[in-house]
Order: sequence, then C-alpha cells, then structure tokens
Amino acid sequence: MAQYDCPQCGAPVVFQSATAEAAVCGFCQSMVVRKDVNVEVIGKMAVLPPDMSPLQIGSHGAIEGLGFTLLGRQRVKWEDGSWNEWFIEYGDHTRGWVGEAQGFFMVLRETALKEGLSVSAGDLKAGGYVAVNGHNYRVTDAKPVTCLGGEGELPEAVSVGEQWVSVDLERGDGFVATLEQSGQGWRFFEGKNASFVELGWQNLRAIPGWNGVPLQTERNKTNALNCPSCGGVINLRAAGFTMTATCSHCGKLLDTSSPQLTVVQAAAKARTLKPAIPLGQRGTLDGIEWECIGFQQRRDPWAAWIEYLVFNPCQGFRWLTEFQGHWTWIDRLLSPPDSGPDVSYQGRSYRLYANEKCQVTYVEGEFYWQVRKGEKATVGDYISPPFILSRETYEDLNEVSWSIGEYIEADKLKAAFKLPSIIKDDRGTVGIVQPNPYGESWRTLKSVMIALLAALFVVQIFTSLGHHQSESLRDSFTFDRTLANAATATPLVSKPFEIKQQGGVIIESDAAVDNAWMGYEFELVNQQTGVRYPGEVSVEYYHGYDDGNWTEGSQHATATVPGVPPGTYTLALSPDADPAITRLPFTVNVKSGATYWSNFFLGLLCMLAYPLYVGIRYHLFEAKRWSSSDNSPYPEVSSSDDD
Amino acid sequence: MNFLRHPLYTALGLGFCVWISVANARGWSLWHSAGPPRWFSSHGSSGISHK
Repeated sequence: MAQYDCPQCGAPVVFQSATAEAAVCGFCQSMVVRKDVNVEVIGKMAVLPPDMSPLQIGSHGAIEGLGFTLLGRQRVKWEDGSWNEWFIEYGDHTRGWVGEAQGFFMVLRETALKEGLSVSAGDLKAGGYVAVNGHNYRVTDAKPVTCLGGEGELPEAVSVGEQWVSVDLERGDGFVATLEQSGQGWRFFEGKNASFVELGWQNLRAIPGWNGVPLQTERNKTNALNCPSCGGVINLRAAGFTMTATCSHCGKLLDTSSPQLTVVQAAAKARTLKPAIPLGQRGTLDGIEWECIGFQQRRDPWAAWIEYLVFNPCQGFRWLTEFQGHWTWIDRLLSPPDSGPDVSYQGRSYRLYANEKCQVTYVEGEFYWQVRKGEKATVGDYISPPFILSRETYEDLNEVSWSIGEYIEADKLKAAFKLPSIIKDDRGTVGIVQPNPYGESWRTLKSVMIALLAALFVVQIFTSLGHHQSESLRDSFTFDRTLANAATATPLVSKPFEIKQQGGVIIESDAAVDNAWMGYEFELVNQQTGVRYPGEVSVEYYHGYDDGNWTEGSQHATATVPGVPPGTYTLALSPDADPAITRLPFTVNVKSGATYWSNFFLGLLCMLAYPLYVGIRYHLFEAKRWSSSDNSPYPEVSSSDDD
Repeated sequence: MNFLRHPLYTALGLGFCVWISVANARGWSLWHSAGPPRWFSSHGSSGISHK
C-alpha cells in the first residue's frame, strides 16, 4: 500500500494495489496518476451519481475459491444504458475486473491476444461468431461506450467522455469475454458470469430502505432530481440501475442515465392502464424482497400483455408478465441457448410456441434501458411448461437477449405483494406455460402402467404354462327325434371319465348339420360330490348364394365350464335339433385343465382405463394450450371454450 | 419410485397379478362364469333363430 498527497487538494490518496497506476481523489475527484515515485493530476473525474449498488470500494468477493477485493470503479454508458466496471485485486495479487450490470456480474481478467484480431468492430454483430485465443465466441452485444466517471483506484487513467467499443462475447457454460477496441487497438478480457449469491459478497454497502436499513436523509446533501419538463421531484427507485423513468407528475419519459435528466418522449395522452401491482409495491418471493418499479404493455398482432419490472439492489431485476390472468416470473439469461425449431437448455427441451414482432404500447415507471413507446422487437417463445425461454431480437440495437421464465400462481403473487386483489384467470383459459394439472400424473403413470402390464403378462404366461389340457372323454351320440319327443325322454349320459387337474373344461362337438342346427344342454356331474356344472352347445351351419357364396356358422362348436375340480364325472346331454332333422350322430370331446386369457384381458382393460382417462385429459389440456400457436403439434380444436 | 406416486393404481395392478395367478391355478374365468354383458351378448349373437 502506498499513500500520496493529492497534488490538487492535498488530501491523502491511497494506492492499495501495487498494480494500480491511477486513483481518483476522494475529496476533489482529481485523477491522480503515479509517475515513478511521485503522482500528478491529469484531469478530473465527474462525481458519480448515487446508485443502488450494494457494492463499494473494499467489498470482498470470491470466484472459484479465489478471493478478490474491489479497489475502484468506472461507470460506463452506452446509448441505452450504463453499468459499473469494478477494478479488483485477487488474493494472489493479480488484477481483474468485475462488471456489474442490472444485478449480473462478469468476473474478468485481461488476457493477451495470442494471434491478434483481424476483424473491425463494425464486423462484430450480435448473434455472429468470432474466434479469439482458440475459442469460438458468440457475440452477444457490440456497442460504442463512454466513460461517465470513476472512483478509487484504477489500473490506468481514464477521463470522462473517453470512448471505446465494447463487444460482449460468450461461449457457453458461463464463460464470457469482452473485446474492447480503442485507439490502442483491441484488448481482450475473459472470465465467467456469476450471480450475486455465487460471488459470496462481504463488506457490502448498507442501502437505505432495504434489508432492514431505515430510510434516512443525509444532512446537507440532496439527491433529489427534478423533471426538466414540469419541475416535479423525481424519486428513482433503482438509481444507477435504471436508464429511463416516467415523471410521476406529468408522465413524460425521462433519460435518467445521468443526474441531468432529459425528456426522451412526450407523455401518453392519458394513463389508461392501471397496474395490477402498483409502482413502489414491495413483495417477498422465496425470501427475497422485490419492489415493482415499472410496467409496460407490449402487443403483437394477436394480443397485448403487461410486463412488470421488479427490483432488488442485490439481485437486480426480474420481470412479472401477465396475460389473460396467467403470470410468469422471468429472469434474464446470461448464457443463451442456440435456437432452432426447438431449444435445449439445462436438460430440458423447449418447443417453439410463437415468433412474432411486437412493440411497446404503454410504459410507466423506471427501466434499465431506454424504453420508448413504439420500441419494436421480435419475440420468440419456446416452452416447456412451467418454463419458458424467450428470445428478444432488437434489430435496431443489434442486440439479442434471452430470458427464462416460470409460471407463478396468481394467488402466490397476491400474497407476496400483499395485494387486495389480483388479475387471475377466471375464464378457464390455459396459460402458455401453465402447468398441466395432469402432466405430472401422466408422465409418471406411463412408466408405472407399462411395468404393471408387463408384470400382468408375465404372470399370465407363467401361471398358464403350468396347466396342460388333457383329453378326458371322446364319445359319440346320436340325436333321435323320436326319443327326444317321447314323454319320458331321458338324457343321454356318457360313461364316467376322470378329470385329473383342477381347471377349465372344454366340451367340443362335431355334427354334420347342413343349413340346419343341432345342440344340447348338458350337465357335467361330479360322481363323488354330486355337484353339477350346466352348459349348452350349439352346432349350426348355413350356406347359400346371394350375390355370391356365403356361409355362416360351422359344423364344430365348443362350450367351456370354468373352475372344475378333479374327480370322476359323467356328462348328461339333452339334445335338440332343427325340425328337419330326425336323426343325427354327433361327437363329444371333453378336455380338462384349461386356463383362460379372458382374465388377462379383463385385467388389461381395467388397468388401461385410468391411464386412458389421465392421458386424454392431459392431451386435451395441451391441445388447448397450443390452440393459439402456429406450431401446435395438436390438430386444431374449436376455441369456443375461450370465447 | 413412480409407483409410490400412484399407490392405488399400483395396488390395483398387483391385485390383478395375484388374481390372475389364483384364477389360472383354479381354472376360473370371470368372463365364462358370468358371461358377457347383456348388451355385448345381444349385439354379438349370430342372430340365427333356431328354436
């Protein structure tokens, strides 16, 4: 650590880092630069406007086990926003940068360009690719930027208004990089994305009004901003994070990227939209407090929806979107997936639902970019309920951004934000990513059903294999009408026969009927117990010519008696036949030990009934969800239910 | 573990497995004992009147 007196004002200027070449005097904002053993002033930095960042010089963080300390920062602005670049020193005394934008962090180190870079900044467009140091990076953003000011130590002197081109890159799995082109050529910084929680921040700044810190007015200091149009006081809810705000007095859209507010757009003729979540309303979701700071209405050729922007100083921004009473909680994605007809992200497959041009039709509150009524974008929605991936392409800004959302129940939001009421679906519509009430059941039931049906089949095969049909009786009888019509007609009775195995009994008969029938009622009589098993056999065979030959029936017929125990049996028959037949011989063949597939098929039907019901309800719900999509995998269904 | 998500359905399936085991061992047939339902029987008969 080295300490110098500011050549401008004499205040102490401390260099914690041996590698920092410049520092901003905390008293007079002079840019103090080390020259050999002395320091000199080369200019003056602007006082940075107050912001809601929880970071401060001296905050500690860690990435992949390596700690670092924030030594200074520069604030950088582009056409539609700004962010902080924190100069850091790692625990191993190397240096780097932490980019802080809207609650996202990029932890970077400068790396030499091994083979130079032959492209110009103008060649690098969002969505394109560039090879740097052996890696193929996707360009996520390319824009000219301007230094707004700085504080603390910096690796080299910068001046307010200094400009360069910043190109953000990513190559998946959280690996990111930045190319910067200035008068000295290209510089390359590479590292990883990280969330606030992942960096394990310590020694953070207390933010009045958040995390239990009371709101207080600092004496002799005013941060109040005034509307340049009506003079009304503008209280920014996410100062330093947001680029645009509407004046709560006159409704004009203001550029808030610097303390000198300017009017961006005239006020809407009338504030026609009443937000479901009022501006300034706070709510706690999953233990994190959020404040609603803005909302916008967007419209595509088919419908309009509302997007609410919520803010937390540590977590940054999230979106809540509402369409037809269905709500989605949305976070921006740092590592965008490759898009095509379908998208795969973190093990889930997303299907394209819609890809439409839309524009902002109403805006109120604060936003982290310079939103304007009429701003156009092409939005591609890929769904895997309850999740949604959205790709927004801003052709005017040469920017593509991705976000991921998850369906959230309206009642949960209502409770979180302590709202007296909330817009919710009461017409039975299906939200684009509303969880299918039968989804979980259907997904899990399929495998259970298959396993149980397989078990049922195996049991059927193995238990029926143990039974062998054996012939117990083969006999011949003759139908005689004279005997059958006699007043004392007695049944024909077979000789006794043995049934050796418990099981079903099959009785087969053959009779030479021709355009006639014959049949008999029978009783299988157990000789030991006297138990009788009745049944009926009917042999019928008809044929003729009627626009061709036809036949019906057969000269062979069977009947079955289930569950017959072993024992000695006789078969008593009472035959009858077509009136044209007076005498007809027929055979009777008794087989025992039969098993039946009917049990299996009855079980199969019962086992299929419930999955069939769940499956139909699941697919009807999905068909309704997809009915508004041009990419529906379901046949078009009537939308009368939605009317 | 999906079985635990559908305990009644799993119990029904296992019950059918046991029932089929016993029915096949005894040579029972629910269909042949009770016969087809009346609607099935009336629609499924040959329609030949022979008595």
